Amino acid sequence: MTSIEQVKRGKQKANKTHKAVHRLPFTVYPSSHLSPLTSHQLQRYNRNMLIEQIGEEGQKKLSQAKVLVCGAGGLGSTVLTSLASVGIGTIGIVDNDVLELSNLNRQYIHKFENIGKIKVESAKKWINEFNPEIVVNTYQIRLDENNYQDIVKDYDLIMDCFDSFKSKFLLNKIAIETGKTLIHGGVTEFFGQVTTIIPHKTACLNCILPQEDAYVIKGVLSPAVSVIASIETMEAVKVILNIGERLENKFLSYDGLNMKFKTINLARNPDCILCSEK
Amino acid sequence: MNIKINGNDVELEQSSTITQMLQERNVTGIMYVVEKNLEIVPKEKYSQTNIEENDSIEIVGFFGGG
Repeated sequence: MTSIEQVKRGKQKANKTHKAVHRLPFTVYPSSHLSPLTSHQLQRYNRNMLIEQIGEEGQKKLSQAKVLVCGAGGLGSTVLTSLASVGIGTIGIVDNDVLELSNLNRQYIHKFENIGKIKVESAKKWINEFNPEIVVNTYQIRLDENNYQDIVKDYDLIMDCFDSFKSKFLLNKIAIETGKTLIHGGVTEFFGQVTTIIPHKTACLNCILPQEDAYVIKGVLSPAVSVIASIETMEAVKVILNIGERLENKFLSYDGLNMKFKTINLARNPDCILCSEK
Repeated sequence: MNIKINGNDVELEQSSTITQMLQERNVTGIMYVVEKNLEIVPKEKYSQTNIEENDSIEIVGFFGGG
């Protein structure tokens, strides 16, 4: 049986048990602009395409998507490997750091032999070895208000995998100014949060929190990082495919110590200094 | 006055604002989000927002690591 026949059979089977969810208005790629999948992709992503809400059309969208991952540390490790696994076609990686031994309690995309080397190159190597068809662009740079425009403009989505309040609020500002969707995630110790920010449509970080610039090194545990990063990646997939219910105007809070998830409803702040129309 | 905080039953001795409630519970720092009856309370309104009988309050942290 060919991959396509397997996919079709899978879709027929899925049709009997599931109803598609198409509630949200945001579409990254119109179907008419999608390139056909290669034979490699048809085989590689067979199990993705068996999912009714993805199918061959959805896989084409994932393959044409361009996602910018800001931070190649803990969150970045799981976000990058997961984005590569689901078949995102172009991945950008922004990070200015070199790998240190103390990173390796969680930053598993990097190998021990790469200590002292540039993280974006180490992460790119992992992706290239996993799937040489993925286009990987690296930016060894500390992102700031003067250098983001040429980088961000080439991408559909921004993933917040940075490791400080200051850099997270900077990404929030960049997203609002460029209109790019931002999947925010943050984590410390056993705890973390995720929210999906559609500029000028949903609450941004400044709507709900005061700007915070403090940078304090705190403990962080790999499983908590992976949970938050996996949820960020799931949000990215749903945004690209325009499926499901996303964390827009919702703040998903994770407490790994007591194993609790909570979702807080957000609303745009009419007095927000960043995204308010006032 | 009986309310819920993070799903737990809590008895407050007197009427209280969000600010007073946070102080009483030693919630310090600024990086957290407060929801009252499924609606987020803007930070600048904590001192004007009264807590009433049977209110449900959620307080969750905001974490900056990655």
